[in-house]
Amino acid sequence: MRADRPPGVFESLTAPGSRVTYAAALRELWHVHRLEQARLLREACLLLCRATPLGRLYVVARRNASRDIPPGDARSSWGEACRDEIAAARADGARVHSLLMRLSASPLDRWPLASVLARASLDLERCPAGRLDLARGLIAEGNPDEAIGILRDLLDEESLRELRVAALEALALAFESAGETRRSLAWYAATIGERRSDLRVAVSLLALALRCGDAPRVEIAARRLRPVDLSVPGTRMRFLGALRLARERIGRDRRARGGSLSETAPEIITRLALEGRGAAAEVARTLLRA
Amino acid sequence: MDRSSPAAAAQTGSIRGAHAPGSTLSTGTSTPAPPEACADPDWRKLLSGTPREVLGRLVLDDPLRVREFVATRLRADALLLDADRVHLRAIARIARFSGHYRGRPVLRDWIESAVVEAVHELLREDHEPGRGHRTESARECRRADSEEPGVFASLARPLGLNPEAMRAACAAFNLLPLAERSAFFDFVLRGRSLDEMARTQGESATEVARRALDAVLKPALADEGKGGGA
Repeated sequence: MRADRPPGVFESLTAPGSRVTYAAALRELWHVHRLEQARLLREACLLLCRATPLGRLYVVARRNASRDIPPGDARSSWGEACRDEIAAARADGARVHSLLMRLSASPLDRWPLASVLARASLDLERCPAGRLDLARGLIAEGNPDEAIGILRDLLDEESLRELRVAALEALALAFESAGETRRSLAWYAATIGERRSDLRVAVSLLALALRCGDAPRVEIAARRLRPVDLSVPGTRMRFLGALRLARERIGRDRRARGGSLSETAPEIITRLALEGRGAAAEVARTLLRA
Repeated sequence: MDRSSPAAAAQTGSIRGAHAPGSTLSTGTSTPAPPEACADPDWRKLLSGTPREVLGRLVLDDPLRVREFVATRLRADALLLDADRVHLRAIARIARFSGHYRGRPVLRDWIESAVVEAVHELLREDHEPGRGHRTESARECRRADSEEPGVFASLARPLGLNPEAMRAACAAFNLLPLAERSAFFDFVLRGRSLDEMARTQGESATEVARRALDAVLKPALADEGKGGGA
């Protein structure tokens, strides 16, 4: 059995013979400069999120982004990349975004709002990563409602792919920052259901579910955490970092809204704390001490 | 690892190198053998100077054989992308970040990562709102640069479609799982027989045919669904 096919036409998609010209390549280089400047503005937005109290608690940047780098180093390596781009773009006759030039010349505390930076990046490149960072910027500025709208729209998109997990987690965090615990729990649970969700999502879900006495979600998160081997140094560090942030978020929420544990929570927490030395038990013990 | 996404695969790092904070780019899935011809070019000479100067050298005779990397990658990932467009983006990226290259990783891996990043970016751009403007300008560029008709026009004509419909169909196709795309590539584009494919893959001819058919029908049905909802 053999399919009939139009002779030769499809090969033009992958054919080895190149028809590129210098003029077209130069335009493409200018476009690459534009994309690089958009990326730098997104990175700047995340640097700024990290420098705000809300952003530090409710904005989780990409796994290998600047979160684990000391703030001064992150700013300095961003500045180096920024100056490199400005110099290269000028040498190539490409445009340089005026905001990027301003940022490279001023300290972080003189930068505009994170959302302004994210919007500027979207002017250069309208992409899901930019919209996700805009939502993160809004969360860091204490505007979770607008962030939630952006993230919901983003999650409706079929082509989101590798950013989906990050967008789900950002939505859970946006609801948590808005004090909408039930919705936050639902989105954390949706995030944990994704294949590539991070350990910290399970920690966030477990801490919040324990506080609310939400037994089914405690079980979902505990199941994810039970196989985690905390004797592995890198894993332990990530776990402790996630736990510290989850505890701080709960503390902030308690101070801001005066919430307390649900009626069923103490029993569930105690039962889990007695489970042994695993990650889930450690989360429960931390809540007991808090 | 999600084999359906060409960008979510064997990590070889980013073409940007150490300058970029938070670089999260990756390379393709099936790691086909890269072209050998660029194994020992004088990369210091080729990659020195401003990005624009580097670009000038890369366009002339393709000394790094980027076009072969592009063809290899598109075939390995079974993607229906305009190879000229991928080639342009890849050499532009290589030129832009040429100043960061210090001989590590080996040149062919570095070029490969540039091609994978180019593919990744273009797939994403194909699904971004407002991409029409860029497509139009790209079309104009192509018309201005060459008498050749655009690749989608060449593809669409014998099938009685318009180029934009063909472009949309290819973009939808590129979102399908790799298994379906590969079945379509082997059966329709490479003209392999169902029996031969079934033998190679250790599956029934029916299953192979179903996947190839899915690759054709799913984008069409999705398009119909959108039209109906409008």
